[in-house]
Amino acid sequence: MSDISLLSKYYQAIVDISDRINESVIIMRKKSLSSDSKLKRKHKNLLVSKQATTEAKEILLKFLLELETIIESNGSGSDLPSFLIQDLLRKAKSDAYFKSDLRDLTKALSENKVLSAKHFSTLDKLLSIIDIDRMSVFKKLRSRVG
Amino acid sequence: MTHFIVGLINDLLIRVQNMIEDLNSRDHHPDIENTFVLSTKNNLSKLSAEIKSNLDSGDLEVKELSKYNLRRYITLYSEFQLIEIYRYQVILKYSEAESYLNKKVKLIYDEIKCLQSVPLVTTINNSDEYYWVHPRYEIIAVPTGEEKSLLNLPDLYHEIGHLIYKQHEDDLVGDFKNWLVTHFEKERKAVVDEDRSPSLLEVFSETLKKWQECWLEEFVCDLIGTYLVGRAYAWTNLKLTTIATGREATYQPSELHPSDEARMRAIFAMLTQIGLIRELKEVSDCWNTFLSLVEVPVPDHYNYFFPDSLIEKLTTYVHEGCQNIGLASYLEQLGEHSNPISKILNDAWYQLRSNPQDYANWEESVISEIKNKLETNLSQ
Repeated sequence: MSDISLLSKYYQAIVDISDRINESVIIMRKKSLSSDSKLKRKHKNLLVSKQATTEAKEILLKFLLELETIIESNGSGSDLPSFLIQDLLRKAKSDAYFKSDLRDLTKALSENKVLSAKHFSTLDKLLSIIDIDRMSVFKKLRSRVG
Repeated sequence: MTHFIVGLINDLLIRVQNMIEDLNSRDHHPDIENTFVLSTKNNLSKLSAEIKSNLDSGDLEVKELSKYNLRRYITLYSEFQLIEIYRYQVILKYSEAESYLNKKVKLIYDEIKCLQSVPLVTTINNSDEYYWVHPRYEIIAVPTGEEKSLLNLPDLYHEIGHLIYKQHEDDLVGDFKNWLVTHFEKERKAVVDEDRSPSLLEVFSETLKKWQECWLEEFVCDLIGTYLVGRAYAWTNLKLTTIATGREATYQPSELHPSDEARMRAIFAMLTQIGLIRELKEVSDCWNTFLSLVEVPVPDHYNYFFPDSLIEKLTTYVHEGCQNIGLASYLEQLGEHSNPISKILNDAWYQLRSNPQDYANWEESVISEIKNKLETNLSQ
């Protein structure tokens, strides 16, 4: 009974996370790209306000700190959907550099440094994990059998 | 790639606009024309505005942002697909079967004194999909042809329970969530104090997470269903459990659902709580016989997943919550209405068991009576 009710709740939760992180990364990416004067002249929309950057940074930092807690506590004490927590823990176990990459990224954001290609690659890895879970729940919702 | 993504987003915009035009060009059933159809058009208009804003943002021309733009496109396209599945198809399918079921669900809302807006019932499901509710799109889906039968209908009250839970979670569970955490913390402590197997620590952590994420809500909806429809809810659950025996779900919980056995214990606890003890005996005897007949595996550590203490505590909370939010219990409905739907469902299960050969005729004539009653109510 009613897998759809719970799946739709899961789906909404994971879409919210995905949107929040994706939009924040777009802002940080724009900020990084805007240091290239040629690109800046070509694309006027690369200009982002200080407030937007601060908000994006806060969202990313909050998420990264939550991830740190999840990894340290082996998954307990988080409101994130459990399947996402499990996938993040799997990644932390299988990728020897994942934890240190997350720490570097957190440090760069906390210290207001311009993010490097490696930092964006770490964010992309996180978004890929979220994408896989999102599509998995979406498929179940679309087939309506849970 | 940038042109390709712009093309995809334009294609999506056309699809959304086509769907709006299609809805505008159709004659809709009067039941839904100014409600469900209108809100679907609003959902589509909102989606259309989001797509246009994406096209106007200038981000799509920046090739360095392509992967993020693709993700935005996938989100928008998924939203379109969900509207198509959960609203557009519901509108296209709407017929006299839905009209009858929706009048019936409105009557149920009146009988149980639920003040929430009434969801739309649709028959887009097949029997495998059974019953479900989608709170965001405010629909309850049941199998095609369900308007011709009564025995599964107690589960409609379970689905209504999800909508009640969405609004009244705190009223229904009180501080049970804290109680739940304390319970599993004590169990974890006992692992150390009593020198039990350390592997139990992970079992308790995972079990707590499942309770918090899904099992609690499912139990609450079973308890609401039982509170509202009485013993018929237990019989329908026994039917479902029988069907699920092949999937070995009697004792095996899933990520989303507690085991059937634990759910039945919760149902019995609520029947006791609302004073239907005599009625409970017959169904619990049948249930115990069923358990002795089926040979299904019991998972390791099962006794830790759903202890009676948790189920009984939750039942007390939900019973009190239902009363506090003013829901009329099964017995209260009997006192206030001459023949509420909940009573008809109990009669249906009684008829099926006492006179199975004549049940089909009985059911057909009762459904005909309900239809007449609904038409009379409507004309008054």
